[in-house]
Amino acid sequence: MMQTSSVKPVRLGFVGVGPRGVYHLKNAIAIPGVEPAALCDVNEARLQEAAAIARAVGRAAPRLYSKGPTDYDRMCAEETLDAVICSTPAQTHAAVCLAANRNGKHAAAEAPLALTLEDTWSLVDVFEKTKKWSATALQETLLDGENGANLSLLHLVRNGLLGEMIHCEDGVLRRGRAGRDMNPDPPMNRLLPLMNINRGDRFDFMMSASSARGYNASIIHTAKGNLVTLNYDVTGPNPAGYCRLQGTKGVYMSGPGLPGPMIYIDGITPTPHRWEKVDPYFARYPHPLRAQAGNVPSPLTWRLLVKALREGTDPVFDIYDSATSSAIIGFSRQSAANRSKPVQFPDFTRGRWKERQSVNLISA
Amino acid sequence: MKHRINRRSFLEASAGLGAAGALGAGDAKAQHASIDGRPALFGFIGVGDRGSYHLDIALGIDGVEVPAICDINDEHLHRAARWVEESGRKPPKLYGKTRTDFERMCAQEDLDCVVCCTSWKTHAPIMLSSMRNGKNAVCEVPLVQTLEEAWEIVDTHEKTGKWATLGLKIPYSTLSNMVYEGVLGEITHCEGGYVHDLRLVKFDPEREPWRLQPAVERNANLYPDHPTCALMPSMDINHTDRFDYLVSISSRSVMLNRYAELLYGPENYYATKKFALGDANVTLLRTVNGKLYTLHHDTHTPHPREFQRVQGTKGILFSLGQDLGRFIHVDGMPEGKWEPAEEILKKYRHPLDTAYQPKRRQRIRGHGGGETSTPLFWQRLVLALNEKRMTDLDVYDSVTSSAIIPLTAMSVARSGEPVDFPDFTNGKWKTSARIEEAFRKRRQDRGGNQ
Repeated sequence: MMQTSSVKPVRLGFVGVGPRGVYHLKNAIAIPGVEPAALCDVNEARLQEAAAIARAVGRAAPRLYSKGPTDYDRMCAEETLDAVICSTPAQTHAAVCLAANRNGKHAAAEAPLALTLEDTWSLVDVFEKTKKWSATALQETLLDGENGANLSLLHLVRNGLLGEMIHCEDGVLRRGRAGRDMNPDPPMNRLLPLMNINRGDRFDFMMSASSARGYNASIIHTAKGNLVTLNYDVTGPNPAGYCRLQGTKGVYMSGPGLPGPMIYIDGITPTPHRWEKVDPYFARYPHPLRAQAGNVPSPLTWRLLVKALREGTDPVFDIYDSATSSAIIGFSRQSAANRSKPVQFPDFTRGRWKERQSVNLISA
Repeated sequence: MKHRINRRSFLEASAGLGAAGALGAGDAKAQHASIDGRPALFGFIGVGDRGSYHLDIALGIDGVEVPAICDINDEHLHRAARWVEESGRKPPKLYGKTRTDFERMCAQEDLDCVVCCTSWKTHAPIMLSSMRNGKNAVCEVPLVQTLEEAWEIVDTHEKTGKWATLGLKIPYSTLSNMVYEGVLGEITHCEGGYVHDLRLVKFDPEREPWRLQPAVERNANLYPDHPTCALMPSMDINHTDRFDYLVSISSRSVMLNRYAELLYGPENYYATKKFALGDANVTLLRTVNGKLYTLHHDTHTPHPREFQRVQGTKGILFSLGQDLGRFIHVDGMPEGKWEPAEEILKKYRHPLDTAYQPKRRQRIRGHGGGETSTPLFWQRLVLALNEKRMTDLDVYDSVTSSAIIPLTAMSVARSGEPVDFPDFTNGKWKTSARIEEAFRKRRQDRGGNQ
């Protein structure tokens, strides 16, 4: 593939090239100027398959790392990379990200960012020292989820149609692999920007309870006094979850069986106390990024990630958002084990949430 | 007890017996009320919007007598008296000179059952006064406002043998039937709530002049009974399981200030008044056996009405509110697919509903009215009185549901700290049969009649 000289190359190193890693690799190489400079995996066969994919698009052969479970350390030390893309098992995300940051590289990881509060703080601290960030910037819910509906929803909220968010219910209710750690990132990826968490508000404390059969529900209270109800269950017969976002002027809901997302706006929805389809509002307030989507092969999430790396900005879902989201895992477990006793959230932004501006993708 | 048998209702009741026999005992009794062969005597306290509805239902049931009515609002009181007389019954004795005149009524009148539809804070005092004066009582929700009231109702019931319940509701439903039949497997999580935009009602002093004040005074789930009474039978609460503890938290409160400002301008008292009640409240309740119940209360934000979700090990029933319908997924359906639930709900219609074929009557007046037949829950109340037993929804279930109000208030005040749920049954929940199981056993004992 021809590279135009005007496009600054973005050099990426991939750690973990199983199915998710290969998915990301394919998304990456479809974007002009992205170079898969290095690949790392403990599994030699997987590594060779991934290398073949990288070579097939005519790029220079990536350097390969497969000498044991911590060979990513060597990769991070030896390679010149803009960012490391981490798709390893959840237990190693934090270690890979830390290695990247300490070696002057940003890191985009599959969710969750970290499994312990200690690791989460380490990542925040190293970011503040090195200005190299780690983030679960590969999570697609906000930018690509529900066929773009979430991005359009953010645009409606930014246009004030629902007022200020006051209570959002969301979660992961889908049959999956039991026994895995909770993954709060899919819902948080859209909720944090919608509720301006870490940007004018922040999570203050949460309570959590689990049923004997594995259904987990949490309530999160924000500093400004807004609420999140978070559901998590991968053991039940769930076909799909639902979300309900209550603002001061209206409410948005997507859920099972519906012909699409529904909305109700005080004084605007024609029939009082009756849902209506959201589509006409999406049409009236088209999100510029959605309109541009066209036939681009890579998800918007990936394109904006590359754009952030190229321009030296933070990703949309940044280190503080990623830390906040992954911290839920431990706090939920801690609260649920202790008769749902509230657990205080640390302020990962160290007070900067008060000044930080809302996510605004229009100028992105 | 002194009473005179109303000749008209006695004759009609006797004539109706033959035809009603085919419908089963429950249905025969729907057509008329009787206790030991005499009429059932009801006293009504609070005959505003909702009380007048229950009064009108009662007046459509032969064998019901209404010897006494109490209301502090003269207009409501005299409208109620007029309705009683227009129904061919003798004029009731009227009470309501003071806010505690119900006590005089409970002391002086000869009544089988008091029907209470007053404002919230007087419910428990009226329940207690009724029982202490040898009367059973049913009440609109909520039954109590404090834990002390809840315990006092339980204690007074156990001491006097009289009962005070939310017996204008029944625990039986398509849902409870379906859950008992195992369609959803073992229940793991229920979710529901009173999610109903009441801003207009709260600012309508004509209709319920007391309805705004609780939002000024209290930060809690103020109205847990509608969703909770509907879901408790599916969770076997007080019937082999019980609530263990809850945590509750509320959002900030902005909606009522903004609404007052919108209606009356920024100078209005309520535009700046501090309201205690957060606009949204969420509560998590966990049962001793590990079921989870998420309960919402939101009467201030703009939204279509509530939703309900019941999840078991084999399936989920999801109701998305009045205009969106109900959906179900059970094992065996294609993975990832929901189906409209109407057909399966029809199949599991409660046997009581199926058997209940009330005769047509004049359209029922009052709040919630419009029906043209006696609703099933009144037939069940009349039947309970006839059989000299407690209402289907008993004292323990009633106080459990309403106790959520003070318990959530405590948790909210302590920033979401867990609060233990009292065991009002004093251990009897362990051996008390599941609601639907007891229903089936009773039906069997009666040879199929309900």
